[in-house]
Amino acid sequence: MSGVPRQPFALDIAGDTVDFIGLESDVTIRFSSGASLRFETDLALTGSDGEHEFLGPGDKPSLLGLLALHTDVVSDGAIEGGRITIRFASGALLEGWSNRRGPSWHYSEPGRARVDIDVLPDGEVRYRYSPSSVGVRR
Amino acid sequence: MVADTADPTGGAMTVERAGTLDLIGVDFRLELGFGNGYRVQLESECTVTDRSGSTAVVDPDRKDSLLPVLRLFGAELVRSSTENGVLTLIFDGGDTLVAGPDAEFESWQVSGPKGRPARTEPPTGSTGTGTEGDRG
Repeated sequence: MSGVPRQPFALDIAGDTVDFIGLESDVTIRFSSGASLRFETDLALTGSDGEHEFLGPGDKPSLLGLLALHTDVVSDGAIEGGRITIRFASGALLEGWSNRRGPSWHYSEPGRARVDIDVLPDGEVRYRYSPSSVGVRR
Repeated sequence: MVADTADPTGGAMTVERAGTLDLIGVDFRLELGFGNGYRVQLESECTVTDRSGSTAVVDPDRKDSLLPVLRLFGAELVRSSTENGVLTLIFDGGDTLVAGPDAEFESWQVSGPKGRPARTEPPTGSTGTGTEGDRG
């Protein structure tokens, strides 16, 4: 099953904590519900102090501020077009957007109906749904 | 190619040419993954000394202290050795990471595609090797 849901699409991760941040050629953030967000291209982080910075997955030292999100609690998150935003209880804001050169970010959540979302070049957003793999969530 | 030696009594172990640092995992621990399947998990403070001789303390609990490790991404692990509860990683270019024992926690753990995993445990700082089934 696939299709574009009503916009903005609310992420089912409010109340989750950031459990793990993995740095490889890309950046993966895993949440306590099992949801995950992977960035292949630039992202933006506004820290709890209000400082806004652009981070590149290929520039590991630039990602230091992102590590502060570990154990932070998600207030809310949404997708609108090719843009994803996640707000945290600390006041931090994480943002990703589409990229003309290639896939930019991928989001997956194992909620009521599992959804995998890929943002492709030229801003195409692909949603894929399947029956939940976890049955009951929170 | 990974070459490793292990002392069956739980003492010294050396791994050479374990590949490049291609994974840095951050949760309550700090995980380092290398191209050849070698893995290092750090749970306590360690020190990173760069090629200029500058030393910094890295604490997995303080995320703002992890910059020296981020700078090692992509570096090749030339040699890893464990002895008397101390883990030493030597990277190409001369950067080193040293993790000693911790009074309260299992300070570090290493595992790889060959040989048995090793860890250091409080309170003695003794280095132990696990069974094949412990391999991470």
